Amino acid sequence: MKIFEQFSIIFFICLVGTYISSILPFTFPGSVVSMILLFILLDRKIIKERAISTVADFLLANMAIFFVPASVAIMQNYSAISSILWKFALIIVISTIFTFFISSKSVSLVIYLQEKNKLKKDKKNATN
Amino acid sequence: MQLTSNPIFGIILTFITYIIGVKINKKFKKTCLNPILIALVLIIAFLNIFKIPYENYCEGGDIITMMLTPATAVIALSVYRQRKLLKEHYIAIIVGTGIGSLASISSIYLLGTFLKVDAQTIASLLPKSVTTPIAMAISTSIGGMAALTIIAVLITGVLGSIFAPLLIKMFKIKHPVAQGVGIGSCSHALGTTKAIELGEDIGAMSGISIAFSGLFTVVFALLFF
Repeated sequence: MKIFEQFSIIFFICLVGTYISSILPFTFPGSVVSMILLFILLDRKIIKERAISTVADFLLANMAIFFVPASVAIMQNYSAISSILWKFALIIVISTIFTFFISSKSVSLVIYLQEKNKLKKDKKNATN
Repeated sequence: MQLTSNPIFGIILTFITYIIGVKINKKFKKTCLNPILIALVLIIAFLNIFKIPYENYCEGGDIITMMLTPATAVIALSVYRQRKLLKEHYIAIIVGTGIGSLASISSIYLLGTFLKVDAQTIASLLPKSVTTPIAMAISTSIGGMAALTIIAVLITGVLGSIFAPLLIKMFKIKHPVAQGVGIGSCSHALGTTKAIELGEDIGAMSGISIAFSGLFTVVFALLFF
């Protein structure tokens, strides 16, 4: 019974989240709206962690499998890229690595600056 | 009535090929032997060898795809468990995803122009680092082709999930927040599956980055193109 209860809660949130996404004036996917919705409900303690954790942990641990059928759809569209395959692949590989590098390094930099700033403040407070 | 026209066929084929993928991945401990990639190759080979129509696979495949929404939604639980990290580093996360989205869009535009790729293909590639529904919407609104975008998003995601550990090592990214934001910004939910494996804190940060980089990419793409 517990599993059904947990699935019901998660599915219900997805149903509402997908509906909200359909009436938004801009494009934002239902899955991400549902994620934000569920976070707010957890954060406000409206839903307790243990009310969904068994099913949620199962889904989290096995998330990759849900991408498999969508990937098979490539087979249907392969002809769309076959003529420009190398350029297509090159752009994707380079820009993916570049995006990882830039975003992770900017996070590191911000964290470094914040820590340095905090250290300075602490020092100031200590000397005062 | 064909044996394979039942939805159970698509579901079982996905399960079995994925299990084989995980087993091969565990045995050889090579990140390039990604379970999704192995399952994908096995399914396509199976359908081709036994001349089974793709539509038959889809009957069951669509049911598994339907589970993508709840599977993405429950990333909220990881984020909730890591809320301290989120509250402590939200500025870094916003800056990282913002600059990351800009880096993704501009690098694709510049590379595409340099390689003399046509405008429609460039428009289809531009939103490739964000999650599929957002990417498709951006692509069609700036004159791209949805089918091309789906392929690009998928390849990006698989790349991210395969090479994330290597990239972390190569660029010496130490902080879990930086690692997570990097993975989420460059390879959306598919990359996040790998981030969750690397650690709950990294997975949670990667999950948050899907939402932020999605928003930033919408704004930047519509602003510039």
